[in-house]
Amino acid sequence: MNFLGALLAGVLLGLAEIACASRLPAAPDLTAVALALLLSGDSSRSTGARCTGLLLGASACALEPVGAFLLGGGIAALLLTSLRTIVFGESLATKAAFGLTAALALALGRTLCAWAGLTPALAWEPSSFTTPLLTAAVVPILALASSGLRRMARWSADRLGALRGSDGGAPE
Amino acid sequence: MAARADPDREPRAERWPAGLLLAGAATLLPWQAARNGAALLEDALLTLRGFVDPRARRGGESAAAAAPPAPEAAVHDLLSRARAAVLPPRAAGWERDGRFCAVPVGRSRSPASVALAVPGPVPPEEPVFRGRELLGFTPAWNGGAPRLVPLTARGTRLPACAGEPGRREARFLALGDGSGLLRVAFVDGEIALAEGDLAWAVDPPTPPGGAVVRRVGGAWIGRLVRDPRAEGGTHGEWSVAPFSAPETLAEVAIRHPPGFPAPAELLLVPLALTGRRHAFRDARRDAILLGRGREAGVVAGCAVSAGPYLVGKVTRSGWRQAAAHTLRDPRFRCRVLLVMGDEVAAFELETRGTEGEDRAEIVLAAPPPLDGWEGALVVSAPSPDGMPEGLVLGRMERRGERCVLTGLGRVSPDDGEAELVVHRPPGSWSDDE
Repeated sequence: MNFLGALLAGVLLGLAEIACASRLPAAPDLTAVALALLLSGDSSRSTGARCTGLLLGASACALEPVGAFLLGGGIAALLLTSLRTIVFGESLATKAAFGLTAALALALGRTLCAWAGLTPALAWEPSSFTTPLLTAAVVPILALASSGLRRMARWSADRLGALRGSDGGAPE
Repeated sequence: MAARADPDREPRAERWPAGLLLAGAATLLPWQAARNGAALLEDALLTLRGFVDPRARRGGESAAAAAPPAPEAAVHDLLSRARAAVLPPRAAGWERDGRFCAVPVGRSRSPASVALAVPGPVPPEEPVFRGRELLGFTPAWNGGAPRLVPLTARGTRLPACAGEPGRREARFLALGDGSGLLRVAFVDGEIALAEGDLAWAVDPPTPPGGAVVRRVGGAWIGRLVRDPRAEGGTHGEWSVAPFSAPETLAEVAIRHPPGFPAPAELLLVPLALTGRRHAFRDARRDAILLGRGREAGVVAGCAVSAGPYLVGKVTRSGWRQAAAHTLRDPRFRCRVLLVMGDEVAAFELETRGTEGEDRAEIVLAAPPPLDGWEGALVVSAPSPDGMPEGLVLGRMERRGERCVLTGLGRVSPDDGEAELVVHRPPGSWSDDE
């Protein structure tokens, strides 16, 4: 279920990325953003299935070899799971570094596929660096927004509990 | 009491990143099974995308362009003239009681074998010509794919003559050794040879009681050159360099004996449909999405055209969804014909991307390996995979050190939907049409 949900989410992310690419001059790598957020959180047994589903779903929309995503995602996962054990994962700078690493790892996966002749090799231009930098900027913002939402949900739940306690029953 | 471990937590080192990395690395292996597996997965993912993407259901067959596209008349005339030049002159007598037919040359070319892009069989043990030049013979056993065994293939031997016809003729045996040159052996020692002498084939002696037939006698096989390997001592002093290189052969002429079926026409079934542009993150890439896929016979290799122009080639095909990379996409590869006056040469074209205003010029990875390619008209070469003959790609021009394709038509639809035609090879899906 985790895998199928992530696969669907990956396709939707890929479609959102296409929409961004056709309308904006520069956009973050949404697959790398999702990968960085997934890998900077708590690890569980389903993380692998989620990451694989996400990468396969994103590759469906990119018209790039599926190997580029699996290879790049594997490099990102190896690096980030190792990094998570030695750095403080909750800091914003770490989140940004995770985003940058994920974006560069996906680009590296694509480059390796280009070396193997599966996709055209494209020279790096100044504009090629905007995507990893934007990804690095977006990951901490989304992480902040996510933790803010979680805090608000917790606060709402606490307030609901307090109201129940003071009224002695369910609120209307 | 010890706390029970959460089964959803995995405190140990995780192994799945390495598995993901290995799965990705497996797709890079140069094994056909690995490549086929990756292609199958990509096609399945494209199908999944078709189900999720709301825009994917909008494309489809177009009634506006239901009729098959007419090839450009000027291109058709040029190719017909070139084809006529491939057939040997009737006066030479090599036709005997059969007839010569022009057959397109396929993609696979080596000194030992040159593929012929013809769907039906070719007659066995027949000489293959290009105008007055003898290129080789069709193999004796004709069970495999149609092919030509060039004279330069290892193990071939042909009685030949060199010098000036009628005045100075030195007989010898031309031996193929797979090097691209024909070794000159057992030369008539009394006649002097000179560099650049014409070499022509001689028919072997007629067996006693056999009919006198002129099979290849008098056909050119090349010019004499001094063998660059002769200094080593094992080779003779002379070799014959053929006029035509197998890499640039576009068509050849093969004699079809009486009763043998003429080469089958390459039959492709056009399908008119609408396509829309795929947006890449990198603006240098270019591809289009088509609203039909495997269910309609649109498979990888099918050509996509707009009017008389080649737009691209299908690279992925799922259910009700296919993707085609266009000429503007870097690393687009296609076998093409260069039409230079009455001469036609084949060339493996590979693009490097676009340049100029509106991305109107396509930079090629390498210029063709022949002289006089500037200004040549570039059209598609036929292929049974789904590429018809004569779709226009543009003209070859030189820009400094680079070779570019110019004068392109509509090579990519705009952001809106465009009327396109996909050329499909016939299959079981087409029986009902």
